[in-house]
Amino acid sequence: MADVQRLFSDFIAADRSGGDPEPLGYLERVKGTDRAELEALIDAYLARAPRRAFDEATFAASPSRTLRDELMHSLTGLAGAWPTLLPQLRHRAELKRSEVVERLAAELDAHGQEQKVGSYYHAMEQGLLAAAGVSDRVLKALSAILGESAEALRRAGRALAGGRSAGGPEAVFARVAQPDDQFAAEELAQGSPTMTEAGERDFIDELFTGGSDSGS
Amino acid sequence: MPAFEPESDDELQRRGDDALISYIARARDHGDLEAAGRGLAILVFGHWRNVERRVRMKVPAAHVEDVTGEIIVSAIQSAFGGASVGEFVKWLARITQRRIADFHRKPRVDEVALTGGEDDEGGTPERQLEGASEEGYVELRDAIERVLDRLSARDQQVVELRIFEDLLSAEVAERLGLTVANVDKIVSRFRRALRSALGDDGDTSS
Repeated sequence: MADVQRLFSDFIAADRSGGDPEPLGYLERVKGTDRAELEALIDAYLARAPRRAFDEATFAASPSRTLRDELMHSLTGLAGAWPTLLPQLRHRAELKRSEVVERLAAELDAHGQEQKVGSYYHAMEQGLLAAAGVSDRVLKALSAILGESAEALRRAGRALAGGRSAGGPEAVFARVAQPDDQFAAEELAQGSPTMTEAGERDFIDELFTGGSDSGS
Repeated sequence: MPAFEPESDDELQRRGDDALISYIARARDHGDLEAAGRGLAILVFGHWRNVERRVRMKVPAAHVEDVTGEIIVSAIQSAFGGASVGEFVKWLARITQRRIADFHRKPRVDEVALTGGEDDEGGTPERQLEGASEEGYVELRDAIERVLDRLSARDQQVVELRIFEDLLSAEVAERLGLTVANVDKIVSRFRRALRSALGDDGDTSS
């Protein structure tokens, strides 16, 4: 049976030398209380460990890059934490964005308007749509699809104080300037605008930009 | 509003977490999104791997990336939303602990789907991690803190330096003005208490 203290010291040495050791490789060498002790020690060590030095190449290939981009949308956008939360919930539910859009359109009785619903949903994920303008009905529909309560979704839209989500004239209505490639291509093929221009607002515009009570 | 000067990567690396978060917020408030993004990259990258490895010890591989992302997002959102308490790294550690416990508490759609599936002999992959339960995880995490809390401030220092900093007993003794024998005694007492808190029946094989 390997010695817990020696394994723990080996783990620390490997970590400090940049070896990037995996704890499970060490844990599988001990059993019972020894394993529990080693796990507790490694966990406590990692909880105390300082930030790693930045490495551009590793960062570019790491999931932390995607997360940083989503967090930037949250920190600088109109929709609070939606740019990080909505993709997370989608991944957890194992749904593609197109599947969420399809179900959202169905929940909102927006048959044949999937493109427009998709553009608005895309804007929510990108932080381009003011959270305050999105109706409770949309959030309830998303709640049923993504498995998070409508109240939690509303709170997330207000998170990150200091971002533009806090309010201001531009937070009342935001037009999607750059839909993602998928929707842009589909719109081009169908010749439809991303959203209805001012003066031609329909019930979908109301649901996504008219405020919490709209469309209820 | 005071002027904002972007800093180099080297300067940002030298900043502690809380100073880095403050820098990111100032960059954002001044509309310098490139500087904010750079600072955020250093913060997220710097913590990702340590959190990921903690998660991997208790969460099935298929969920590690999602749970790690949720933890880091939650900690950063709390820091920017003013909801975090104390140092960022301690807040991050607490959120990691809580989120892993939540993972084992909440039934997940994919777990339900796996139950009774093809992997009947060894259990589903969801259940193959030893001790992977909410109670097990909380007990494990609490054990270290509980045992540390019972020690005097000096003995806590000894354990932090000898165990978690992995200094030699002689180095700890010299730094704190103790004898080597005294350091070893304190460490030995800590490990016995820890093993006892983890349910050891007296086996001192290691």
